[in-house]
Amino acid sequence: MDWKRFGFIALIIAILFGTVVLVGHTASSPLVIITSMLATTIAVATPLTLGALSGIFCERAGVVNIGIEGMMLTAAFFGWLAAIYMSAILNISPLPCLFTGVAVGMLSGGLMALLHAVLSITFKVDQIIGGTVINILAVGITGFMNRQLFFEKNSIFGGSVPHAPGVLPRFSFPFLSDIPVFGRIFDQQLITWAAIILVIVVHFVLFKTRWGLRTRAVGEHPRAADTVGINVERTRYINVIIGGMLAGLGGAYFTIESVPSFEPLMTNGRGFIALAAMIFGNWTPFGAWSAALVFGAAQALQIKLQYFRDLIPPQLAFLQISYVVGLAPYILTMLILTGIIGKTVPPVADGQPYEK
Amino acid sequence: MSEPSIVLEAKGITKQFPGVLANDTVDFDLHLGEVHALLGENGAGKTTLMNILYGLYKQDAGEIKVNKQPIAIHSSKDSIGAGIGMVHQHFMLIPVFTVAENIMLGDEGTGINAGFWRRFCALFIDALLLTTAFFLLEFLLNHLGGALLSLVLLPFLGIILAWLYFAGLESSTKQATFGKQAFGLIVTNENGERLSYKVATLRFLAKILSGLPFAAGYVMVAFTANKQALHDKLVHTLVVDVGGGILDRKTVENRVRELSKQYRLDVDPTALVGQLPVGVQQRVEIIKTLYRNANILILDEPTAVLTPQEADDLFGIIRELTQRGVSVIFITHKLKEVLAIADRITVMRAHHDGRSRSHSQGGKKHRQTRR
Amino acid sequence: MQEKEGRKWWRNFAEDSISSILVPLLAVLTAVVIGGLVIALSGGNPFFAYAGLFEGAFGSQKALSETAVWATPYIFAGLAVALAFKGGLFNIGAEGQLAFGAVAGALIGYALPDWVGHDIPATLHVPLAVGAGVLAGTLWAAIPGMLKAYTGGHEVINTIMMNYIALNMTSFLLNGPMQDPVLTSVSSRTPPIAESAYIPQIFDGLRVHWGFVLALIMAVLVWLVLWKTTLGFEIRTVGSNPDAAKYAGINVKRTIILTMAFSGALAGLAGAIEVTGLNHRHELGFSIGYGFDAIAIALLGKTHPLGVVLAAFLFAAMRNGATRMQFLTQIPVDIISVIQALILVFIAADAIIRFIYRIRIKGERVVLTRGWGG
Repeated sequence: MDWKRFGFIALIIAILFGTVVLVGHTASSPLVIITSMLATTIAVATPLTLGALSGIFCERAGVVNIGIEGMMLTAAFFGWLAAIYMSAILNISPLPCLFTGVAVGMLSGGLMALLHAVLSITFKVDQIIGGTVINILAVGITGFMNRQLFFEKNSIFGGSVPHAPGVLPRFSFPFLSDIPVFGRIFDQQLITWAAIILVIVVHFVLFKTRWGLRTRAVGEHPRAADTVGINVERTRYINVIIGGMLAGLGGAYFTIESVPSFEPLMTNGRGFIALAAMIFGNWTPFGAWSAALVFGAAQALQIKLQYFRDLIPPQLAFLQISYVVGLAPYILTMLILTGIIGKTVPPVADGQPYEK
Repeated sequence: MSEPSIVLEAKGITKQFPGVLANDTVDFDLHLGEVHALLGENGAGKTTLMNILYGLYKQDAGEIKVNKQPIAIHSSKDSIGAGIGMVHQHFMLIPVFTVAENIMLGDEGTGINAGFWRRFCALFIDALLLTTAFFLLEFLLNHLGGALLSLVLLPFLGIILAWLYFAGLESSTKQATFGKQAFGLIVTNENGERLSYKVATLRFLAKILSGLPFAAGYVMVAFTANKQALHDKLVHTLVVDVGGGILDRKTVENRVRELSKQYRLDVDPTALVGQLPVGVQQRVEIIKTLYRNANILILDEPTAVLTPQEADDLFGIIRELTQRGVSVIFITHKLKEVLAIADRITVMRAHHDGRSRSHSQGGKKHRQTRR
Repeated sequence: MQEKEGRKWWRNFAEDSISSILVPLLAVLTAVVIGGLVIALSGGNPFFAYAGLFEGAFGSQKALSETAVWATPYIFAGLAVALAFKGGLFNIGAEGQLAFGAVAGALIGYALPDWVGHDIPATLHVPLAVGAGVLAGTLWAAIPGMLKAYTGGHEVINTIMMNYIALNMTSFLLNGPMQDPVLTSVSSRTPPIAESAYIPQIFDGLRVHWGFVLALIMAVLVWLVLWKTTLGFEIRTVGSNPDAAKYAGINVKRTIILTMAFSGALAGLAGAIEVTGLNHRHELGFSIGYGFDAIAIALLGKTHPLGVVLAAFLFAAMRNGATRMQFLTQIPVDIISVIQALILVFIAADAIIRFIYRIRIKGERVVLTRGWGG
């Protein structure tokens, strides 16, 4: 990552954190505020990180995936459905329900990705159209099933939303979480930990393994890969499906880790912001993660300002309006895409179907 | 005057495209260590013929023999396996990869399985995968019945193993031969270096394990074996499998340096291909074929992209190659080059005439009877 | 639809129509069949459901009028997306442009009489309100257009981001400065617009208004602009081959911005017409979903104005009839979203449809969008 981009990230994070410290310094010490802001940032960046990793898998193999949003939404719904079904109908204790929910979420994300793969690899549909189809399909399916299962009297749930099995537990990193004040950062829920581990794993897979080398080759120059005996279509299929599973894990964050409920359209553009994070991160896992943290910080700002809303001084009154502060991630995304903060280079064959 | 030994022979090759008869019963042969120029206008079918030899197209009729053995070429993998290498007119190189990465692509070797990386893998998997997996397993065993357990574990295992499977299976054919070698007690890796019996057997076991209907196998192990045995098995399986999937850049870079020195190609394996001049990129392509042990080299319009100086260098390299027993097919439509480098010439005419003609050029280049 | 020389135009038209309408029709059919399966699987009777749907859409004068009411914004928004496609741009932002068009139309509709201090004649007020909506949509779409032209920022993500920004800003406006002082259970909405800003109804007692006619006229206008003017030629050239356009001396950047602006104008028009012709105020949430529907309509209509009008009618009929269907059979209206998504799947991957029905089709693949590489 070049200095310009690093400086930009540092600057934005400093501004976001500074604002919160400025507002809340009368209530608690800056250190406490920064720590809790950091902890929230890491947590809310999770779906963005996973979405970006999903995008990296797809696009490094040459398949543009703007369907991440839809894959996340599908996974959020079906993961939650599985968890709630096991807990409410089968009367199973919460934890197994939640784990199954995560697995089902990943599976449903993978299935949506399979559809994207079929459309864009086999049928060579314009990949952006294909992704849009995924998004629309996800809204339709989740909306329909949500209504059918939870608002119709003759459904298995009897027309109401049953009690949810709660959210995934926290895991405190041994020793590190015992540090006074800062320890809070190392006390996160499971999918958040998984996302951080996956950043490292995906980096390793992409740049240190045979599979990663072949994936990148297929995304850069599929014909070259083909001439040395690499099956381009199969490589793309597998990567897109792995990507869908990662997006599914990100989707499970919404209903199984963040809040124990589902609302239509609840992913709220996170899948698209994740794509922006991927682009800003120049299609690398660590770059995408740091970009996701910037977006996470913007979102954490909103949460913290809500918490401190009585302390906001009159000259900063606009910060009280959550709609205004809520714009930050979207404006940031557009700013990043202009390329004024360093040019990014997509994989050369990104978005192009491979014709033998 | 002894018969020259024929390394490659194509007989009666016919290829029909929709509306075009690209090759009509074409005959072609290549002698050991010669430069055989293939001359002809655009559309004469030169490239089609070469693409058939390299496995990019399948011929409608005709037979191909390598070293007098008839072979079936279904894909470029088969051609590479038969020792045929091709340098395409438009280079098949990835600019953002290093020279070594470009060369190893598709034939990455056995991966890292010794020393630091091996220990790292063991540690990594020990620490990360198994501890979490076992905590999870124990926890679930305490909370769940067996049937549900499999329901929960299957997707997880499936995902992990699917990845391992696909990552590992890429070179399954090679690994299979490897397995045979292990049973025949000829324990070497692809580069001919000796391996310990333990490592070889483990590799073979790992392949079988991950190649089986994997999820079922693992779940079965999970229910039957005692924990220590399962632990050991998993560690070894994963170490070997993941290790096989991890790039061993050092070994490849050394091999490239070796080849570069041997054939006087002067290529730095760590350079980024996109930053190299065209002439050097071409040499990377040549090393790419040598790395795959090619002894038949197809050069498709190799001088089209070169400066005159680079072309002269290339001719030097071709001579070096032929002296070391590589046979070269040189495709061009420039007569001057042919006279400068070729031992024999075949002229291909537009398809309606069909049969390609082969006639030798006289003068100092008339050397096909030399051997 | 390039003109083939030396043949009667109507013959080309007939042949093109048949070959280009077959696949969309079969796509719709297939999606409806699968939708029926989904209904059956979830315990309903698909035949009753579809009968209810049909009755709700075409069963009476009122039903027909309501279908036309639904079709009005769909035609505008569908045209907006289709026009952008013709210029090689994917405008996912119709939703935000439509929302801002509605906000601006409502603002002029209720606030202008207060600003000037006396009533305004309808002949002036309606064009002003609608014009404000068009302007808002135009400006909102021109931003991603400019970003695309000057920085290469991809319009897909930018327009999506602008959708969310529009949603947030509309929420802010409708809960703050523009909130209806008369508090009801629906709090996020503007005050009602003045009657002078109403677009009149065509028939007494039916809600279909002259905006519907305007929509049909716009479809013809878009067709005229795209195929009969220099600008339209430039838009299509930039859309099909930007490099060739550049060499032909077309100002590509200007064309991109203009295309987006026109597209936004149509989307803004959709919002303003909904406010002035139908709702007579803007409510939060009314615009949600139009953007995606518009994409589906544009693709189903093969990005041709006539096709867009037909597709808009189909979608309008489904949306309108779905309420009746839900009333009669308790199948949630959301099934329509599933069917629409399926239609889109089959339209996008028409190879699937061709495979199922064994159709061979000449004609080349049209490149609609490109990757990030800007």
